[in-house]
Amino acid sequence: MKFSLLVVGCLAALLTAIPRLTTASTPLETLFVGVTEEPTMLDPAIDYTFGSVPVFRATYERLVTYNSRTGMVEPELAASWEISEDGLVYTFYLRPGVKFHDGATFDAYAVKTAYERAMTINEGPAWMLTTYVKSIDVVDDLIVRINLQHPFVPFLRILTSYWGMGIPSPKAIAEHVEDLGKAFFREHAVGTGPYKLVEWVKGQYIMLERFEDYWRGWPEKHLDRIVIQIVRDTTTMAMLLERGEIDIAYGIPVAELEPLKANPEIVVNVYDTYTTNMIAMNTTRPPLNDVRVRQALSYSFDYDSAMEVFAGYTKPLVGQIPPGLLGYDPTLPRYVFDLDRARELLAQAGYPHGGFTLEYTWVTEEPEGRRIGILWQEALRNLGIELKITEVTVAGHWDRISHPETTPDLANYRWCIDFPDALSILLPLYHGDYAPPVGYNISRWSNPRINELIDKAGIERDEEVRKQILREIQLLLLNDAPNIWITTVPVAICMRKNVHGFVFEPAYFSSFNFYDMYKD
Amino acid sequence: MVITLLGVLTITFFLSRVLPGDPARLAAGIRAGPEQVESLRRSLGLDRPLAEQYVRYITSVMRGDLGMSIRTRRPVMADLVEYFPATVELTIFAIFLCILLGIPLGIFSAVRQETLVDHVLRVAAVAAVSMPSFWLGLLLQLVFFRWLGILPATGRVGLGFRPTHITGLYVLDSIITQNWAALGSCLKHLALPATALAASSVAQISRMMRSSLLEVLSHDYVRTARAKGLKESAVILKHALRNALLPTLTIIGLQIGILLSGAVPVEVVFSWPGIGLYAVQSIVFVDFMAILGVTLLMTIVYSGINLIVDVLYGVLDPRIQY
Repeated sequence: MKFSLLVVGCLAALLTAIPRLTTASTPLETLFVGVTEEPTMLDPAIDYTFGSVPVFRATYERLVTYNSRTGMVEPELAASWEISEDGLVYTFYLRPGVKFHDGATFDAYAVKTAYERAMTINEGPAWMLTTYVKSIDVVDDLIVRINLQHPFVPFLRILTSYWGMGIPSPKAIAEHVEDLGKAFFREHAVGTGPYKLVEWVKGQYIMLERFEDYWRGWPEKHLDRIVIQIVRDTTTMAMLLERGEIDIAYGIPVAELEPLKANPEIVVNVYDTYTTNMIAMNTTRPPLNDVRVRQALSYSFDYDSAMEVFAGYTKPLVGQIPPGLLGYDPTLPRYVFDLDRARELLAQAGYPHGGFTLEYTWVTEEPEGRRIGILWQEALRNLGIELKITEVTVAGHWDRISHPETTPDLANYRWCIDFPDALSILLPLYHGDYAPPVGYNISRWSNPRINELIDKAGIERDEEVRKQILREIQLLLLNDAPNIWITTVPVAICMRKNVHGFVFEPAYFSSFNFYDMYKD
Repeated sequence: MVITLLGVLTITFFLSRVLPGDPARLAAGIRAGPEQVESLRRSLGLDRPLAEQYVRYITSVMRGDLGMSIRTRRPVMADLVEYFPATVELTIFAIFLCILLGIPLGIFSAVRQETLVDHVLRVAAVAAVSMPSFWLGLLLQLVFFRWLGILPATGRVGLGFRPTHITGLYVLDSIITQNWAALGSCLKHLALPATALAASSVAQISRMMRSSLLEVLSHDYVRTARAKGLKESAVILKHALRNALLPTLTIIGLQIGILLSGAVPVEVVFSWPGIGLYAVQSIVFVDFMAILGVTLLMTIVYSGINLIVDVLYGVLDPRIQY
């Protein structure tokens, strides 16, 4: 008995007294990045998930890239370009001396092959090409011409996407021509990017190594190797970061950042993205087919309290276009929490005491929706409205919104842009022709004036005129209130303090500019 | 066995069609255009009549082809070969811990019945059964990785230590290739997840062992063995244990099945690339082919385990004959 007590006492003393061991440190030339989502595949023509973007950004390049700080499209594999007056012809002057990882030369033929491959496979992100591209011509080795079916001003910004627009080696495509290279590119990446894929151990990590012949060269401080480690649990990821076993942690929810912020070895940054969280209201059936009821619900939502769901890192959204994109207008009016006004509108609509139940769904993979619903439930009860909160998986969510009769009354969801332009939001979400399954207009609202303006915004080249069009669309939407617009979804990127050079790009928020980064 | 497999596959095939969600849409991407979704649907054969899809599937299974995963776009067989060994390895080590710890603890508890040791072990067993495996996993990571830094928190093996692929069971592959550095790394990586997975089963096995042994120790032949002057250890280990093991063996058999299917939370916490997580993702994405593949695999595994347990009964108790 005495011996047992002695053993227990020693163990307790050991556990409480033992100092935390000094942290591990990773080699300076290797960056370890923890992510929660693994790519399902690495084919730039097919994959349409967030997990692949870190790999795409390191291994593939596009004709052009986007810089959110300037709001401009910038050269990447295309050194310059011209757009015809009618907006139908895009001529790209390509950068000479660029090599693919397998030694093939980058040229106009490679661009044509890559995009035609994507359009022939015709899966996932290919819609961004098939909807607009009529043909692609090789003018000469370093000039490629893309002819559009109809003008679309944001087309250049479409080409900045990592989904569908990364250019793989034509040599690799030719070597696997029997299935258009689908089996090969599923697990291989052969691009022109600064890093080449060395190893992908499923469920564990992806290793990238410096591509010595990268066209930008390696003049400054750079990383030799990147290890993207799959860490499914965010608590575990935080521990790995604290112990120095990873250098960057991506995917830790903003509500779990406080312990990391207290650690002097770790830098925590929370960034705004172009992803928005909102609630779609089903406008096809009573009572939400009455604009006054929708406006009342918009006034019943406590926007400021809802920011607590994101640990206070965000602000209520103004308009429907997030900050940083052309068309964002901080002077636009917005709905505020005003139960009296809500009551007034409900009374006008014939519901002075509420007296109805609405089903509110939230998606398992977007957990903020649950807390948002719970917060809203109480306010609605004050108006005599019962909110029935239902969780749905992403599969169930899509199933339900695909048909008007099964679309829930209220659906909380996130929308992430495909390309950095307001039309990546307005077109799929608010154009009358884009109700599911064609698009994502879950509220199924169609205002002919809004439809017309959205179409006009697609062809208007004058930026000032375009801004006015976008402003008018947003005002109309505010009045029609098919959605409740809540906020942009923040993302936290935590890194060890010896990691430098990272620049957050909201258009590619799940990825990193590895080429510019280094450790000391 | 074949009839069982056919029955299970048929039921699963039609039941999985009832799951909400359009797999072609989910695989193409929520933002994909309708044309792209239909293109994928056609290429995956999901536009064919259900009966035709069923016949094609069963025919291909008989040829050893489990179809293409809608989500990963790889052959389901390749996915199972990729992920199943990780779960098998984890489960084997968890079972190893269950037997290594559960049986001796049960014996110890039985022979020290109603002492402080027995009470402490009972409380520990209740705690182990009550604790969710993912929570225990996080706790183990906190103590052994974060604080003490002596065991890794994630993965199957350290970077650069992966053994040459032979079976996919890293420990076995390390031994076969005599890669002792890899073996050491694999065992270190197994320690925490196997412990988290096994804890509840250790508790259950130890309690079953305890009660089973106590029951056997009350029998006449045990009293006779003691009366003959045999040492207590001989009485327990040579005479009583063998009979007491029978019900415990049943529990161990059941635990293998539970551990195999209950590994998902542990796989998530430790980023263990096993079949559990693959199965969950397949269900979330309504990946019919993968769901069927995993179901087929688990049916074969469970049937095999039942067979082994039945055979072991006969080994332990010669009176049992088939």
